Amino acid sequence: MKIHLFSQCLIDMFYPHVGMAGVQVLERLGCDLTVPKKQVCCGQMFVNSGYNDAAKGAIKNTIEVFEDAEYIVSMSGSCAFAIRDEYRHILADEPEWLARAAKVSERIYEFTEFIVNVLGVTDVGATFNDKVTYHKSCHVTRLMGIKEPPMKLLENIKGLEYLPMNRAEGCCGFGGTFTVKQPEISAVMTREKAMNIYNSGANVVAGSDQACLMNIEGMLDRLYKDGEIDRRIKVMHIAELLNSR
Amino acid sequence: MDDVNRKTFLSRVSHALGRKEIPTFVAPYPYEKGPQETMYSDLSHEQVVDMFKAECEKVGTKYVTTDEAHVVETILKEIEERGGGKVIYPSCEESKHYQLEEAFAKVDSSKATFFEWDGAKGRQANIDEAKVAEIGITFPILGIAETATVIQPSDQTSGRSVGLLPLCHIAVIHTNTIVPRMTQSMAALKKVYQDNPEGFPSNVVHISGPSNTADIELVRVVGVHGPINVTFILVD
Amino acid sequence: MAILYDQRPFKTRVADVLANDFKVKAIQKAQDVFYAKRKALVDQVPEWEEFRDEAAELRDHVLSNLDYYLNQFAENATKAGAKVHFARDAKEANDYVLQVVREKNAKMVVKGKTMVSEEISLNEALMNAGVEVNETDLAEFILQTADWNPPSHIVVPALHFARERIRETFHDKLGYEGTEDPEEMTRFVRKRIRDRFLKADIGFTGCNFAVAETGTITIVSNEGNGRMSSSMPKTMICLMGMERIVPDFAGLDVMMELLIRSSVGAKISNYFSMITGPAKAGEADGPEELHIVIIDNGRSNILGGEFNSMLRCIRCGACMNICPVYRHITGHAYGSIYPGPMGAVLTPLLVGYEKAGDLPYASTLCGECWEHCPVKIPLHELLLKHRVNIADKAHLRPAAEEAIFKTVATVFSNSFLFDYGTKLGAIGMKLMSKNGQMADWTKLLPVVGGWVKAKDMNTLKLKKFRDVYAEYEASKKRK
Repeated sequence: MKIHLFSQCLIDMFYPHVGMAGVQVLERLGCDLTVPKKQVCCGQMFVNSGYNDAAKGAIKNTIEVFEDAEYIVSMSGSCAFAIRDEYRHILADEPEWLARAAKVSERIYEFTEFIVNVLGVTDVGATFNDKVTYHKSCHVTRLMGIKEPPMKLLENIKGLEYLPMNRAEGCCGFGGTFTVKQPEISAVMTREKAMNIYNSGANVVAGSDQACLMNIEGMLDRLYKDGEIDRRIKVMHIAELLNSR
Repeated sequence: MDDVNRKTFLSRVSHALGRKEIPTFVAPYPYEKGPQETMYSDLSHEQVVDMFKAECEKVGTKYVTTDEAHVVETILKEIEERGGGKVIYPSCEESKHYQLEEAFAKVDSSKATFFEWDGAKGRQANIDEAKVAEIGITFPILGIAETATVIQPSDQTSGRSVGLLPLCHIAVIHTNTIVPRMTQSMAALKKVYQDNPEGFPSNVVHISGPSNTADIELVRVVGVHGPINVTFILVD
Repeated sequence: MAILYDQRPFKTRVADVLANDFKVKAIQKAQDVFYAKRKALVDQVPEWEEFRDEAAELRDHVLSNLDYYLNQFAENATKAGAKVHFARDAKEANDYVLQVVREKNAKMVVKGKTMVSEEISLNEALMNAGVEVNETDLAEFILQTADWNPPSHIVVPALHFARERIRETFHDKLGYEGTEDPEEMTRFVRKRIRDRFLKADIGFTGCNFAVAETGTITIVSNEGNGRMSSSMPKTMICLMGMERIVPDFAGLDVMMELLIRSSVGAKISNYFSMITGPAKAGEADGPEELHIVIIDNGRSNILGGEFNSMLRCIRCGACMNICPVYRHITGHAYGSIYPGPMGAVLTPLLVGYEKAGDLPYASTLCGECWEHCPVKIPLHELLLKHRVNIADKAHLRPAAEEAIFKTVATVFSNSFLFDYGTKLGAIGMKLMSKNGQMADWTKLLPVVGGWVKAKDMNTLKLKKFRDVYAEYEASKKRK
């Protein structure tokens, strides 16, 4: 199956190894991968701040890069949501772009959704020997309604002990530019999320939205450094777990 | 109603909705699409009454069961259990039917005294008695099983105060008037309205247990402005 | 109280709340309690989502025929003997109320809980006219006694008061000598207010739903304040927002299925009153005169527009019972009588962006409010619409912010600029870093500073994913 990978700018800039894990998992599942060099950003961060006009550049670039793809797989849930659900609102008054956006919106899939719902695979043959909890990101879980796929994938990872956390589907406090605009509120929200992760007893927290994970990682590292939690908790994209053998 | 006042206001509403005039007809909302009409439709009446009782237990509302022949006896027993004192009761058909006045006349006045609410006695006289009453007795017209609710209209014979001002409210309800949900009770009330719009009670209150609050640190306290105790007497 | 009771900057209000541990913990506890209770009940109703769909549709049906239904309601309420008055704004509503006050020569009034009365500053209008006002909802009574302290929640507005503080307030203001036991204090209030109920010249109530087909108004309460206010005084004034209509009794069934479960996690409220006209001739209690004031106060500007779905709101508080932002900043950071997600949408619509333009940014757009909303208001989408109006259309955000966004947007829409821009960024961040994470002093910087104060931040990678992948692809080809 020919797929185009939407890597997400945060993964591109901060987490290249996550992108590579995604590549390897998908290739192992028989996908013929293209990672377009001209991709940059879905435009979500501008959209979420109300700057729709400014967002159009990034959006149109994304459309141009991906409009001929058969399947597009996004390594990040919130980007997939933006592309699937928000482009049409922003380009509503540009009919030509709207039609092109539709092609992209119809073909975009979130990483776990693609593997489970399109490829029909729930066991990728991974092994990961540790206690893992899972952060159910807002966009993926609630706004896209993707609840089962990541859970099914986790269930089938050998050696993985899944530990539920309190309020797993609660927001981590990232919220796009919220974390920058309202850092004081974001900090207390992320702290609560981090403590829920810590209290789950897990050594690893996974998710499928790198923005949330980056936010959570920043807090967990700080709490550990400040001695507020007594064990280091590793933050991993689900692709990394699926890529472990 | 001031016509100019209404028209000016409503024309703004119409304008917001993109029209010049109020439509003369609106198709009724199709409630049959919703789930409410079929819920509990497979339950027998007995099961519905059981649901009412189970819900009472769940939320901690006291209920006692009796039959038609023992209604007065049960009321007297409940008055005694609630400590007696001043009892206020309606002058409605049911009171007459059960000959409450006669039965109450036999009660030792050191244990309980009785006052019959009757619009003819005037506002002040009735309220003055109700406000110092320990117990108020009413006869609700409908019950809702899902929420253990009784539905109490008020009229000349049974004022709002009767089940509201006393410390304890005893509601006597016939189990054959208990319906599964508000879906059925609202349909019944609608029929009452349609049969005689002018005669529709000015006040119909749904009562689901004693008044309570959680306003202070979410601590549940029973008995704020309304009764502190409620007993439902279920008559088979 | 006006809609906005605290007009200090949003950040100042937030900082104030974050420094008040009791207040934050009280709200968190309330959220946890309501969440668990609601969830347990909703799990018992397999038809819950169908009810939400139906309620949303029913509300939309009413809104798109609001002129028809309001007219029908007014006619039927009038037929039942009520006096219906339409008020365009706060002034018109208060003028009418004061006219009734004068006619009745009213000196003392009681009030059941009503949000719309707060919206129009009714208490101030009454007090300025020399009328003694008595809030009778226990929480509202506490707030009034504490010199009109502002509410922190729309359903349980005095949660930020610890029992000790309530005792102290009652002691100082009312001479209460008892303990801080909630039951004892509640009994004290019961006794005190009972007398007011019986002597009040006018009873005020809000209106949860008004039934067009019958001219009935309805009041939900647990304490009985609404029931008392509508039963004892000889004159009753019901204040209702103009959107509070249901077509008929069947509509009440649908709304009541959702309202209480969503609000406090109970199946039903203790009392639900349906009031159709004043007391009939020969009745010995109840209002001899019933006035219904239907209030627009900005709602017709919302109706039919991009925020129309906000008018579905039934003021249950479910959105603030779940919102992760409200959870930490409580109602007080919003500075509005309408807090939480519904408040962040509604308040700017009622008072304008100049005064409340910060509120739509008090959200991560996580969508939990929408998921819990019994009438499915897409609150996260409405918040976003506000942001577009504020940033893109009205240019009300700081100029520097707009400039930054535009610059970043240019870089992020071109892979060449992005590649080089982020390489420069990576070098820059490396200079500001220690062990691969931003150094402590960078918390003083704009933009990243806020993050670094609370969380660690990794530096940008010099070798991005695109570079790593290019190498990987090249090595694959060589094989």
